[in-house]
This record gives sequence, C-alpha cells and structure tokens, in this order.
Amino acid sequence: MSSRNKVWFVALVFIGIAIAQKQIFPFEAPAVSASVAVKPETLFKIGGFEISNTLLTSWLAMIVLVLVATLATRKLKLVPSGLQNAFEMIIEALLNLAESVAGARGRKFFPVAATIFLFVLTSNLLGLIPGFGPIGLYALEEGHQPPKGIVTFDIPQIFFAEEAEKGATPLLAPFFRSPSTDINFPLALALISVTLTQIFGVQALGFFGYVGKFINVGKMGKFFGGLLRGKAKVGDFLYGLLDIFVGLIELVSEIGKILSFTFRLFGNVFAGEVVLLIMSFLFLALPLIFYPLELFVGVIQGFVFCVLTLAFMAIATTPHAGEEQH
Amino acid sequence: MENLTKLGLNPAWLLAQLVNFVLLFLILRAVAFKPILNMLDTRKKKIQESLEYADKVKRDAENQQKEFERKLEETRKQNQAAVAAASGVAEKEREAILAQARADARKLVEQAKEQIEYERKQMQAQVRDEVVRLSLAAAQKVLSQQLDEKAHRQLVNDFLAQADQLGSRN
Repeated sequence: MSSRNKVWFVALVFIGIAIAQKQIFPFEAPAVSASVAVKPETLFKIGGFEISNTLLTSWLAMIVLVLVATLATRKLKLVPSGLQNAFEMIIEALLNLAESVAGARGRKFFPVAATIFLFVLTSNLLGLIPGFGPIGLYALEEGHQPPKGIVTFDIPQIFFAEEAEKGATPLLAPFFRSPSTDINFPLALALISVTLTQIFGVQALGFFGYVGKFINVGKMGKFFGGLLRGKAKVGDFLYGLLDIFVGLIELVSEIGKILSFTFRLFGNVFAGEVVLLIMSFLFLALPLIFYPLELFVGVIQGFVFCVLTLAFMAIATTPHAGEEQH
Repeated sequence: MENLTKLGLNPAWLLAQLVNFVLLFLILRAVAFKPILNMLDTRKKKIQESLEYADKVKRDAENQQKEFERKLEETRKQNQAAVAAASGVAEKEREAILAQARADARKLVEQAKEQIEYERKQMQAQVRDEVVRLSLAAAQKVLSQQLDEKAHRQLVNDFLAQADQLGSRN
C-alpha cells in the first residue's frame, strides 16, 4: 500500500468509527463533567495532610521504578539477560550521556540526572495510561447537585478549576494524574537540580571562585585602587561595570533556570493532557493521533530535564575563563 | 505568589515532592546505580582482559606458527645439506674408484709394456746371438781359409753393431 492509500485507509477507518459510534451509542455522552484543573485534586486527608492525586501518582511511579530497579538488579550477572539487560541499557545510555555532556565529572552528576530522567519519564508515561483520567471521585462541594446527564465542558473551566468549582458543575477528581501536571512536582525537581548545581559549583571552584561568577568586582576594585594611587584607567571602570552587570545577569539566569525548568515540564505535559481531553470530547478516536505525540513529549521532557541539569552542572563546575585571561 | 497558588503551588505538596525525590534518589542509588555502575565497570574490565588475553593467545599462536615454519625450514635445509653432503661423498668415492681404476689400468698397461719390452729385448738378444752364431758358422764355412779368427770376430761385430742400430731403429 502506498503512503497515499494508507492515509485514505486511516481516514476511512476514522469515519467508520464515527458512524459506528453514532449507531452504537445513539445517546449523548455520559454525564461526566471532565475538567482540567491546574490545581491537583485532593482525594483524601491523612491527619490534616491533603493527599492529591498527583502525589499518589508520584508514589506509584516511585513504587514502579523501585520495583523494576530491584527486580533488574536482584541477581546481577556479568552476562546480562532479560530485565537486567534492558535496565542496564538505559542506565548505561544515561551514563554515556552524562559523560558526553560533562566529561569526567559526568559520573558525579549521573545519579541525580538519571533519577530525574527516570522519575519524570515514569510519571509522564504513567499519566498516559488509559483510564487514569476518567476513574476517580466526584469532588462534590456541599450543596452541589450530582451530574444530570449533560456534559458541560467550557474552555475557561479548563484553566481555572476554582471558578469551575464555584459553578454548579461537580468535578471529577481522578485517582491518578500525571505528577508533571502539578506544578509542585516540576518545581521540586527544578529546585533540586538548581540547588545541586550551585553545590557542585562551589565544590569544584571553591566558595569565592563560584560566587565570583555572580559578584565580579575585580575590575572595579582595580579601578578604585588605581584612583587612590592617582593612575586610574577609564577602561578598568568600564570593564568593571560590564563585569558587575554580567554577574547580575548570571544571578538572574540562575533563578530563571528554576522557572524555565518548572514551566517547561509543567506546560508540556499539562498541555498534552488538555489536548488529549479535548480531542476525546471532539471525536472518539481522535486522541489516537495525539497519543504517540504525548508519549514522545513525555520521554523528551524527561530527557531535556536530564540533559539540561547535566549541562548546567557542567557549566557551573567549569572555571570562569575570563578570570584567567586578565 | 497569589497567582502561583492559583496554579496549584502548595508548600506541603512541594515539600512532599522534594522528599519523594530524595527518597527515590537514595533508593535508586543504592539499588540500581551503584551496583549497575560497578557491574558495568567489572564487565568493561573483564572484556578488556578477555580481549587482551585473546590478543595474547593470537600473538602466541602466530609466534608458534612462525617458530614452527622456521623449524620446518631449518629441517628442510638440513635435509638438503645432508643429501648434498651424501651425494658429494658418493661423487668423491666414485672419483676415487675411477681414479684407482684408471691408475690400475695404467699400471697394468705399463707392466705389460715393460714385459713386452723385456721380452723383446730378450728376443733381440737371442736373435743376435743366433745371428752371430749362424753368421759365424756360415762365414767360417765360406771364409775359413781367408781370415784368421781375430779378423773374423772383428768383422762380425761390426756387422752386429750395424744390425743393432737397425734394430733399435725399429
């Protein structure tokens, strides 16, 4: 079959499904007010601590990861086979990545980067398991009516669950929800990544060596020293100003890293979930097209988080080239 | 901050996720990363050793092959030398035998010649004596009155000297 025929074939299958859907289910879609809330839904409370569905899914991801890792490394053999082989392949690929990005220091950064990758990957993929979205509790506010067989799905509701909660529509709180769609998860990872980057930087360059990247007053000091001795250079003053400015930018970029890490992961995965949800409301088989895409996004976001962490750590532990030149 | 809270930022949950990560990190490091890295290193070392060993074995085999070929060549040369030596000896022997045979033949020929010469000389002497006796007898009969004994003998001897000359010329 040529590729053109394939496209037609797939299109026909879709149309067939759409017609069949109307024939088999001649009624409206069941009464579910699916909502996409930015805030994760609280499922229950344990001693005042709210357990959200994203938290539950992260625990599930952790259990899956630890289980797989334990099974894979239970009986390590020199000649690997089966699960050990597969798991070792992933670990070795990550190690090679770490060493290619950060060189000899790659081994030091590897555990953190690998944990980030595996954690993000597992939770993203878990969140895509069919059934994760629609199975859950109805989070009924007091005085709210249970659903009455009409789907309400307005776009604003997607983005601001709180406002949706104020309306009469009860909300479905799925048991499991991809942790990356909860801003706390990417933020936690970003904080750890950036904090560890600073720690590794200080370890590698010494406290003053590392902080000197951000507060670079060497040239300025030289200028004022020259001023006292009466032979100050204007060039020193200008360069000093530039150094201080660049240092400030570096400082801001460190904070920017936290934000970019957080919202890159959060935004991508959240958007993916929203797209899948909207598509499933539009057309029965339509999410099928977006599913591989979201799988890809889930893997890529984990990979990007991991690689950027490695790269930032590598940069932070590299001595500042400028200081040696002047 | 207000907006971040709207986005779902929750200190308790953030803390929970931090704890999650640290926990997962520690468990994975203990369960997976360290053992697997050790295993990878061990395997790398093992493979390197195996490769080196294979190289060594290969080199050894090559050396042995060379050694074997060298020995083979040596043996072949030795054999050739032995054959050459043997054939040289045989040749010499043949030469010697031939020389001996030639010498013997020459000797025999010489002996034969000597014998012939001796016999010839003897014969000559006999013939001369005979001739002397006959000619004496004949001459005595013919000239018994005309010549005395002394002149006679002188005559015959002259004649014989001439005959000798003739004979040696032969």
